[in-house]
Amino acid sequence: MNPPVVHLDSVGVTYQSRRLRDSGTIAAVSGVTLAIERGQTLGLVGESGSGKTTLGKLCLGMIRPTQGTVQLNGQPFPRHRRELKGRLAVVLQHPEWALNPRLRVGISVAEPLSIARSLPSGKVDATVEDMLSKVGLEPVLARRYPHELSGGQRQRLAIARALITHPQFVVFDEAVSALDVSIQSQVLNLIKDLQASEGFAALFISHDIAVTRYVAHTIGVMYQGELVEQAPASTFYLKPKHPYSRALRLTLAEEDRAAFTFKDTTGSESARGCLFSVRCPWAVDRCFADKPGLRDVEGSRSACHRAEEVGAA
Amino acid sequence: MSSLLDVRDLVVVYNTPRGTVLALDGVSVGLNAGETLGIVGESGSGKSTLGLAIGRLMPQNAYRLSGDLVVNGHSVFKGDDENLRILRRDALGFIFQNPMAALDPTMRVGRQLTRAVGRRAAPEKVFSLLSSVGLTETERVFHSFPHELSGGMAQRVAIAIAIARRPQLIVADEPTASLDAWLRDQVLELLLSMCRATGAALVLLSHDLHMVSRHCRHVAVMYGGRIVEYGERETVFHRQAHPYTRALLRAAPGAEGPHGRLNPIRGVPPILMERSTCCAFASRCDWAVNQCLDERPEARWLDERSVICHRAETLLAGASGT
Repeated sequence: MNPPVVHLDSVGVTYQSRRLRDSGTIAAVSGVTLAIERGQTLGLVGESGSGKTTLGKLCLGMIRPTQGTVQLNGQPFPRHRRELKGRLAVVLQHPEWALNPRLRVGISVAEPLSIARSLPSGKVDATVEDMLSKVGLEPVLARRYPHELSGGQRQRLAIARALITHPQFVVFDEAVSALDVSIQSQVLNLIKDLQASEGFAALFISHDIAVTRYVAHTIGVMYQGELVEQAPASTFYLKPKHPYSRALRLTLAEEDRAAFTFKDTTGSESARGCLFSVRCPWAVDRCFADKPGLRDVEGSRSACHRAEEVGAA
Repeated sequence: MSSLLDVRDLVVVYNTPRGTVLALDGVSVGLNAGETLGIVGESGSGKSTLGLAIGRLMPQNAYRLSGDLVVNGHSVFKGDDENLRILRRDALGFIFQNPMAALDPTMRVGRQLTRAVGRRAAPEKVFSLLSSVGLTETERVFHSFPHELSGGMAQRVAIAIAIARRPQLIVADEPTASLDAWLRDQVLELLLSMCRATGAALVLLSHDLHMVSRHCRHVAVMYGGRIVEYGERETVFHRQAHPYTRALLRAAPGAEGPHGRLNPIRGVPPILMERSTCCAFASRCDWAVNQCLDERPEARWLDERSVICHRAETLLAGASGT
C-alpha cells in the first residue's frame, strides 16, 4: 500500500507571544496525528483560533512543527522548498490574493508552470486554455484582468492556478466562505468533480459545517489546537462522539437548541483536565482532573471520556 | 395595528461611470410594529440598497426615481433633513455585516455607547446595556478599543448601540456573516430577544434562506431589484411558488442526502440598466417559457403569498422543470 500523501505524527506548533509584557508561548496546534490518502478530502472544522489554518500551513510545509513530524509521501519535507514546486497548492478565501491585479488572468494562471518548469513553453497556452475549460470558464477570459470578473469567476481562476501543475495535495482554506450561496454550490461541485478526475488529496478548512460535509470524506474537529474528533463524514453527522462536535452539528441541524447550551467561558481552562470541560454540559469530575486522549470509538476517533454516552444520546 | 414601514413601488438607481444601474425595480413591502421580516437574495439583488433606503443612507450616487418609503408615517425621501435626523436617531437602528467597520477605531467602546444613549447618560445605564447584550466583562469592554474585542463581542456592542435608544425598527444587514458559524445563532437569538424585549420590529437581510426562515415570521425573496416572493415563512419555505426561491433552497448545502449533489443556479445575477421588460430570472430559470421573455410579470396574490412569476401555478402544482 502506498504511504498517505500527507502524514502528521503528534505534531505541535507553538508561537511566541508578541505582547510586550508577556513572554509566554501560545500552542496553536498540539499533538495532532492524521493522514490524508490520495483522492481523499479531510474536512477540518472548528471556531476561529482553533488552529485550522496553522494545520494547513504545516501540511504545506510553510511552517515547521516544533514537535512531531510531517511527512509527504512517506518522506520528510525536503530542506529546500523549490524541490516541492508544483506538488502542493493552496486556494485561499479571497481569490484576489492569488491573482495579480495588474496581470491578465491567463498569465497569473500560467505562472506556476513557468516556476515549476514542468512544461515546454510552447505548450503553456494550450494548457492554460485546457485548465480554464476544466474549471468551467471560457478560454477568452484569459485575456481579462481580475477586476473585470465576478467573485465566482475569480475563485474558479484561483482554483485553475492551483491545479495547473497537477499537484498531489491541495489545501482549501475557507475557499468558498466569501461566495454567495448559489455561486458557492457551483464552486463546491467543481472542487468535487476536479478531485474525482485529478485524484489529488485535499485538506478542506471551513467553519461552515454544511459545506464541509458536502465535500469531505473524513471530518476532523479542532478545538483549541487539538484534534478532538475524527470520523467518516457519513457517520459524523448522525452520531458525533464528542460534545463539541455535537454542539457544532446543532448549528446545522434543526434541533432543539435549548437542550444544549454552553456554559460561560470567561474562566480559564481547566489546567490538567479536558480543555473543553469548562464549557461542556456533559463534564463530570473526571473530565476536570484527567485529560482524555484520542481513542477509537465505534469507527471514529474521539477525545472524550464519555464518547460512548455522547454518541448514543 | 398601524403600519410601521411602508414601501410603495420604490425605484432606486445608481449613477455609475458606465451608466445608470437599477438597484430597486419597483419594491413594495410593509411591516407592522413588533414584527420580523427577512429579506433574502444574492449579492446584487438589491437587498442592501433596500435596507439602506429605510434610513435614506444610500451612497451619494444613488437616487430615487419614483415610489416612496414611509417609516412611522414620515416619508424618508420627502421630509426635511431635520426630520430625517430625528427619525434616524429615535426610530431606527442599523446593524451591518462588519462590526469593526461600524465602530470608531479611535474611540473607546464606552464613549461610543454613551454617545448613542445620550450625552448625559449615567455610566450605569451603559453598563446595563452591555450586560443586556450578553457581555460579561462589562468593565473591561467599556474601557476597550474596538480592536481589542473579538468579532462576536464587537457585534454585540454594535447591537447594543443599535438598541440604545429603543428604536421601533432595526435593520440588520447580514449581521452574522463575519462570525463563526457557531456564534451566528447565539448573536441572532440575542438580536431577536432584544427586539422582543423592546418591542422593536426587525428587518433581517441575508443570503441564507434557511437562517431567515428560522428566525423571521415573514420572508421576502429579492431578485433583480424586485421582491419576487413574499409571505409567511411556512408558506414561502415549504411551498415555494417562485423558481428562484426553490433554486436558492436547493443550492444551499445542508439539506442534501449522504451522496446527493447540490443544484447550483446556473448563470449569474443580472445587472439591470433599465426597468426590465421581461422576467429578470428567465435566463437562469428551469421553468421559463416564451411568455417569461416577452412579458414583465407583475406581483399577484396566490395561495397566501405575493409572487412575481408567470409560472407560479405550475410550480405550486408540483411540476418539475423542463
